[in-house]
Amino acid sequence: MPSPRFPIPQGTLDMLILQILALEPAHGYGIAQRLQQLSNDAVQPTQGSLYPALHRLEQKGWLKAEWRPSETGREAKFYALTTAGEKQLAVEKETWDRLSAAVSLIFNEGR
Amino acid sequence: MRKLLNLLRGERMEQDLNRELRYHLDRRIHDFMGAGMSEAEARRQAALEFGGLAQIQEEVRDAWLWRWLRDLLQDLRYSARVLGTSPAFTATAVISLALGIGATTAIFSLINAVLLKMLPVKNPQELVLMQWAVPKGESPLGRRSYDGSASDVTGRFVGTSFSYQSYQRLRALGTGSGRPLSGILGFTDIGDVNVLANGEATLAYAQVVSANYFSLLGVQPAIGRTFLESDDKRGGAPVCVLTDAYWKRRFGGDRSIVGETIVINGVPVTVIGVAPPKFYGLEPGRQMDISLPLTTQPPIMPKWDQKIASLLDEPDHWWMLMMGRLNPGISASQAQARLEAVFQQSTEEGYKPRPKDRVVFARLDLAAGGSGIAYLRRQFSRPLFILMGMVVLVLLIACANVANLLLARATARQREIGIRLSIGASRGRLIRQLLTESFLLAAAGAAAGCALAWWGSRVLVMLISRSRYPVVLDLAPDLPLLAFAAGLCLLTGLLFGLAPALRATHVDLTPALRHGSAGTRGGFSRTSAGKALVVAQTSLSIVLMFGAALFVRTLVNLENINTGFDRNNILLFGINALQAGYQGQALNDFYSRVRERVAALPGVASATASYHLFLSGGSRGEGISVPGYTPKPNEGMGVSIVPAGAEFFKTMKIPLLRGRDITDRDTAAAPNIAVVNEKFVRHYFAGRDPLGEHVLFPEERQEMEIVGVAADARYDSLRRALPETLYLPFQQSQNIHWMHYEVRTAGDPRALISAVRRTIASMDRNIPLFDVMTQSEQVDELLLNERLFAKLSSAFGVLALVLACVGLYGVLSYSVARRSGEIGIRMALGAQRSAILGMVLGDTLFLVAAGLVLGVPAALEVTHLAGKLITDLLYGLKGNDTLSVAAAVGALVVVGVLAGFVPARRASRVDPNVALRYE
Repeated sequence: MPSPRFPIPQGTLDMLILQILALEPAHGYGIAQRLQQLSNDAVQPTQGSLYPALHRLEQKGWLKAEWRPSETGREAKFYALTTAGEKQLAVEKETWDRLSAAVSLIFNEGR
Repeated sequence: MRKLLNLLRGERMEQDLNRELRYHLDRRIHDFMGAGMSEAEARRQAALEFGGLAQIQEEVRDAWLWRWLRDLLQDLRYSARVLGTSPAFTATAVISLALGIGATTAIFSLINAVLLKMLPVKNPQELVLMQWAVPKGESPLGRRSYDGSASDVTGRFVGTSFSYQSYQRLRALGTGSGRPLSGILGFTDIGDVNVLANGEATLAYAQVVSANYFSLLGVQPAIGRTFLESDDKRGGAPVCVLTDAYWKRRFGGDRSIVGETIVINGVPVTVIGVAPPKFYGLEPGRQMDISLPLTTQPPIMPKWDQKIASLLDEPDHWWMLMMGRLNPGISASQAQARLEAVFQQSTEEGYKPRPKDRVVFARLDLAAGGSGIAYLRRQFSRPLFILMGMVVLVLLIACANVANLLLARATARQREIGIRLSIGASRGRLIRQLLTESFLLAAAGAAAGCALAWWGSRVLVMLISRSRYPVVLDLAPDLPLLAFAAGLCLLTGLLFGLAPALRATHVDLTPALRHGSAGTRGGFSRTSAGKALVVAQTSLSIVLMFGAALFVRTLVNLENINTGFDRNNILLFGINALQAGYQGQALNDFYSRVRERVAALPGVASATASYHLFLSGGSRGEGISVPGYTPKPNEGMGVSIVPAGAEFFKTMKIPLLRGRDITDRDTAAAPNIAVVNEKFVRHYFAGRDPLGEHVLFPEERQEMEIVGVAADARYDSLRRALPETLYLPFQQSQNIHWMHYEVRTAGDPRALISAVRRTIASMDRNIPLFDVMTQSEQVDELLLNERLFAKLSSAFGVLALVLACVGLYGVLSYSVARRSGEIGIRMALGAQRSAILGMVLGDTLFLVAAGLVLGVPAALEVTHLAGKLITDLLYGLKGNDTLSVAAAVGALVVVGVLAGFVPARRASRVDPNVALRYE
């Protein structure tokens, strides 16, 4: 039984994709698998949100794509981070850290 | 932008995306099968998980290219396809629009070139034109001669010419740092000059300018150099600068002319440079050939005016135009205030007081100078605006036509639109798509129209050029023109597209889907909309036809004026021997000898001379004193003067009522004589016999005996009232520079041109001929504007009629088609074919009548409102001329019958059996 998927905001999905690809290039299927594995099934993006996100990031210049033979032998479109993408990831991580710290503070304060 | 590049790679990117999604799908299927599902089950599960493929594709596409742009491109592609399937409709619409938009853009490009364009100089917005102003009826202190003054809208009398002294003063005290202006330049036309170069003598149009003319304007020479201060010194070696067009025309673009010496009016002048192309001086439209420094005026034009040799030394002769360049941060009104005192002082100095002079100081007035002097503007701004009005009407009629066509098509597409609406298309989206169609049509029409405008504007400029003064305009498309064309395109697209688009999508779904033809309600309103449009078209056409009739009648009236002389078989030409070096008595004798020699040529019945060409608009006036006649208070005793040659009245065939013609014996040594016209006698000699009486020119102190009375003849203008005229032998007249000749020939006057040229050349090789034409051609040129208006307004009127005819035909055809059932019933009940014919024609005439009811009052109101604008152009009729109205109405009725005839015939041919069955 697949765990209940909770909807991920678009901006957060973008950041997660960047993070996954920071480790190594991957194709769309692989990114979905990874996200699922690393989050213990909490994050399971639909194709309907994943592919628009990937293309958006590519258009912004943070990802570059290349058709290569995949692990099955068939050719797939592999995405990788660009230098601009790496910088963007760093910026987003920092913003996320500060945001989540602030949210935690407020939650703790309310207790 | 990346997104725009994606436009080009569209196809490829679609394929890539499909491949990518396919890969993902296959992997999931594989996963599901690995989890134990059957292949069919795995496929189903994977597809479910994927969700809507179309949805994903759309969202990815949004990442590639903005949604609105994709929609627009989709609409454009669809529209192009739809328009392509009905070529007749598309062609008709595009042609109608091309004619309307093309004509409008052509007129605007002329308006742009004449009124709006800035001169091709540096920072034209900093230039100001110096003018002076006095209250109406006054003359400014210190001013004796005139040049180019006119009344302005506030009733002041405004002039643009200044004395050399004012120029020097203003330059000395008004320019420089800390002063209002950074510089002042001066210039004026000196007219045609005789240029002798490479052994050939021709005429060129010249101006004299201050030394800083080119440098202040920031005009760099194309070859050589322009003037320096050292070039403008009295007694210095004269130099000149040629314009590019003249250099190419006269010297074939030969660069070696720079540095060479040419002879201008007998004075050797060195060519030092050529101006860049497109620079024609400061008067748009005027073709300038040569520029000379101011100080060359005395040697080159020694007998400028009366007895004055040098204009540079006459403070009360105002002859120079001036332009200044404002220093940064100074406005025109500030400069004006600060220079006023300097200017007024300069008019006082050197002023020779005369009795009866009022002390009126002219005020300085600085006007914007960036678009040049108003020569063409004055002449053409009114006609251009009238033409613009006419052309806009044509455009509206064309738009009405296209709107009607679109309405018809919308009816045909009801089914398609109904389906699209019922499966969920938003009304707004559909309207957008229909509007895109309209804009595509408008764009196609505009593109064709611009090509038409390019050609049309050049033809127009050619039409308004007179042989002596060709009009040169820079018609190259610039930003305002392109913006106008684009704006017009959008506006027309909206105008004819919006209403049909709104109406088309307002569909009653059920009947639309079921019948495929219009439901009753939609059909009815479609017809009435179409009829309303046609009525509007008819009204507008009436206005245009009325205008055309007015202008055509004006032309006919003017051409039929009795000029008082016989203008057939007369050859005209002019020469200027003064510029070739003849002076005084030698000049007069030369001109007389020319007349004798030409009169002796075979094929010539007689020849004579006159200072001004008849009907050229040129004339001369002089104050006169008549013994026995006391002038009434405030009566100006001025007559028109015609210095003429021997046998004048015989050659021109003006009847001599009393006394004799001018002869060769009336030389400068002989007693002064004059021949007067009937009007002169009626005014000054009522009842008395004028022969033998002596009249006097008080200023010239010249007394003449009247030896003849001639019938009235129009010699300077067709429109103005005939003045009191005095003819005198040119030998006995002052200030003769050039001379025109009239040669009465036995046969075709043009056949004698080469013989005349040879004769003059044999007398003196260095004297070129000008104004060579026949008298009929001269009259044609005089009526140039009227002919142009008559032609253009008729063309627009005919265009409007054609468009209205097409519109009428369309609406009637549709109406007949819809009523075929009703017609069938009528015929089955016994109506004759002729009755049906009559019924449809009656409908046609009803529509036309409705148009007339609206249009005729509108037309009369338009001419009433335009007031002076129009009546100045008309002749012999008023703005509410009934004959013209009748002509316009008649034309439209004929057109209406023509348009309605085919549908009427079709209606009468309806087979009742077929019609009834179909219904």
